[in-house]
Amino acid sequence: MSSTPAPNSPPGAPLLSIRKLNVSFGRGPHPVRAVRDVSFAVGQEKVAIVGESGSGKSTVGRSILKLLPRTARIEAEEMRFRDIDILAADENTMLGVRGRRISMILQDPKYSLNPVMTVGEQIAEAYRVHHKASRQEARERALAMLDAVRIRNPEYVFEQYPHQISGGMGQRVMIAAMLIPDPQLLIADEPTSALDVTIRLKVLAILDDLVSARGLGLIFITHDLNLVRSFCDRVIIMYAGRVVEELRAADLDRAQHPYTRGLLASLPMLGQRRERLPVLQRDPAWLAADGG
Amino acid sequence: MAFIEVDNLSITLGHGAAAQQVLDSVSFTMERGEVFGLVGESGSGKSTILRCIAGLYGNWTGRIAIDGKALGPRITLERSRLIQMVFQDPYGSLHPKHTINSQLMEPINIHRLGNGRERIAHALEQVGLPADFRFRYPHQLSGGQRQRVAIARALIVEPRVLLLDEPTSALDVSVQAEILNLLTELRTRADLTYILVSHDLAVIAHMCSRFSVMQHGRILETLSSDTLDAEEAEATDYTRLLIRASRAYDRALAEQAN
Amino acid sequence: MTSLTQPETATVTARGPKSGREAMWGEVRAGVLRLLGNPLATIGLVIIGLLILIAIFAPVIAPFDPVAQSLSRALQPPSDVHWFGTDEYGRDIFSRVIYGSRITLYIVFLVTITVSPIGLLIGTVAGYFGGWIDAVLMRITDIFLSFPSLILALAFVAVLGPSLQNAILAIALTNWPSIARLARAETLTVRNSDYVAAAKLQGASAARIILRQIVPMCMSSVIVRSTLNMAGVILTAAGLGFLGLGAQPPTPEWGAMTSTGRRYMLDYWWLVTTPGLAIVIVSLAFNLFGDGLRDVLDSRSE
Repeated sequence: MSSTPAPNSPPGAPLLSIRKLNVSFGRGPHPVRAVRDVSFAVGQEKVAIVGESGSGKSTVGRSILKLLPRTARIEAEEMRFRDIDILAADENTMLGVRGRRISMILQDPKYSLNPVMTVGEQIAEAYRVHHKASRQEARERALAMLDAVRIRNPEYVFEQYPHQISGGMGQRVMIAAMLIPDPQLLIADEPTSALDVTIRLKVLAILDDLVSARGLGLIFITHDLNLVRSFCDRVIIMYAGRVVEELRAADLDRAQHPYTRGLLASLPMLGQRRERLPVLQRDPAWLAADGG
Repeated sequence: MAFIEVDNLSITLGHGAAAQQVLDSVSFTMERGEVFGLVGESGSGKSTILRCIAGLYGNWTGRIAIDGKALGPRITLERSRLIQMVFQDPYGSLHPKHTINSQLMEPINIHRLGNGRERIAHALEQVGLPADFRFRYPHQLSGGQRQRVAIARALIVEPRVLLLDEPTSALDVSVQAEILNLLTELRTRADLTYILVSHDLAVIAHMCSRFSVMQHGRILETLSSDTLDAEEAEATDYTRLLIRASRAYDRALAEQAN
Repeated sequence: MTSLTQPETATVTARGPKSGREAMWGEVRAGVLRLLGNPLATIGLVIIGLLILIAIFAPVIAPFDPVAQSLSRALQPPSDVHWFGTDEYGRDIFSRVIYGSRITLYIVFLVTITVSPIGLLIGTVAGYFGGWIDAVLMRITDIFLSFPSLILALAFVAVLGPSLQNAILAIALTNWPSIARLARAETLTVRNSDYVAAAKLQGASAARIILRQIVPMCMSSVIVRSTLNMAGVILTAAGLGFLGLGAQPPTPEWGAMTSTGRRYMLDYWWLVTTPGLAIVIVSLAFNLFGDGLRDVLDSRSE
């Protein structure tokens, strides 16, 4: 047992509260259950959702914003963001939530930025969707955001098209566009997986600073267990649609669940040369196991 | 005389205004049976080196020699039995419309090796795939399984050198461990020499006894994995940044990256 | 083994196929089932099937000889005896439409089997080698692309005389460029793939790579395009027949039938209606089927 605060509760009042979330795809006799009975809460902190492909982590992120295809069915006991009941929210309500209250950054700016608009225009538009503002005012704010993500010459970059900027800069543009409406919660789905190591550092630092400065909550979805160890406050491990463990990032070495331990053990580590990497032995019992 | 010698390898890719010198006088040597690593970020030229050695690019200058024999710009049958390559993307390295059997038969037919059925059965067994996978299509296989097929395809001509271009970057962590172990095992069993390229320093340090850090088409320095901790202090700034960034996220480190 | 929801899991089958042929039939079966799930495509397929059956069993189905004239029975409206009526020479229109299906199939078949291989060959070679080979082949393609088939047919007729064979030749010569360009586009996409690089590394010759690696990737698009082209071929042939440049009388080609029936159209509507409907229905069928094929084949290319 770890000392207070308990691993699955955020410090202070939670921004987002999810209880027994279930997501399934397909209408036939055998729908695919992508997310099973997932519960967690996020406050003003950095929480990681870690899992391999097929664990359901991205589905969780998208279901918070109700960005799943029509073939998806979302069921939960509770999905609440502050005073908004997301589960019961209709599309109109969600339009006011997306970007304005909860924002999302995706993996590859090559695919998430509109290729026929300048990046500055996209950031400005992200502002004007949620606030009545003139083009001039939106442009000013966009330039300010470009500065906030430490882009050196905002006026120049404003006029660039997505194919003219690098991956790292593209991600910073995404962050700017997603933070300009001033949300309270940010979901980042593999935001640095497509970036080089040194660029990753810079982008994460920017994210780190912005999240702290604005008091945001951050849900960091990734497969990189090693990264979240040092970047996030708490870690939620998912496997086959379920939460198998939830603990503080600092306590990762003392993980209890065999899946987490197996995953950690199979990572090659600098400075620890081993002949063979221990291979994760999947136990079918994990499929039926209860989280935490 | 080293087993693999790369001497002053340079290459320019692209035409006219877009021409770029991707490699600038790269030199290194390797012994037989070694696993040598090339680590760097995108644009460092590490994959290009593999493609030059493989013969996919022909317009390089310099010298590449294996076991004393210099390599020319073209892929000959002899060269293709000497050097083979495993690519990064398991979803793109197998032909979507051919069965596994058909794809493994191709090199056997090209080289007129004979005994196709036995060779394929043996190759599948070597990479740990069940025999009844033979007539499946790639879209019926998972990423890890496809990568095993890609390795089987590379090994079926019995090469001596295997070029590994980010072989596990597109795979899940748990699958990566399996594939890395498989590669380690195959190296000793089949007496192979590997050149491993990756952006992941941890993978490189795990698999390779020595590795070179590349940046902007040049080799910055060559380090030994076993004595990495000791060597770290003497390394260049960029290498140290890479090493520390690979260990953990460090807010202070980000400042240094600028 | 791997778990239920992870994409890492292979498609679960009890045991793998035992041979290459079994594997291929498995894929074909899956494709056919998908096609049949598309109602419009199935309708198209059914109509095409009917067309083929009608063509094969024409002598059995047609009550009269399509070229037998009987001037005393000319221009009779549809009746119990002559279901579609008779034309200006007293020939039974129903029988002529039935036999006309053979002509239509003949045209479609001949054009397709000549156009597709030529287009594939030129397109893949141009796309794979690039450089001056590409430039030369594409300029040749452009030249043929610029000919409207009707104009080309007129030129042929002037030189060789009007006939069904010459019409087919004209149509084929104007149809192959679209296939060639399509194949070239696919080749450009595919030629830098890792599996093509792997084939090069194995020492495969250019011919082998084009034939075994590149052509299979072009096949889906080419098949779909050819099928969609068939509708156009039918219409073009009908157009040429209408102008008297294709099938010559008394051959019961649908286009020629609508042409000659034009003169009598106002008072004797049945001369043009049924052949015209036949053209429209069969063209539509090929279009629907082609669309369905595209849905099936495109998503398979992963």
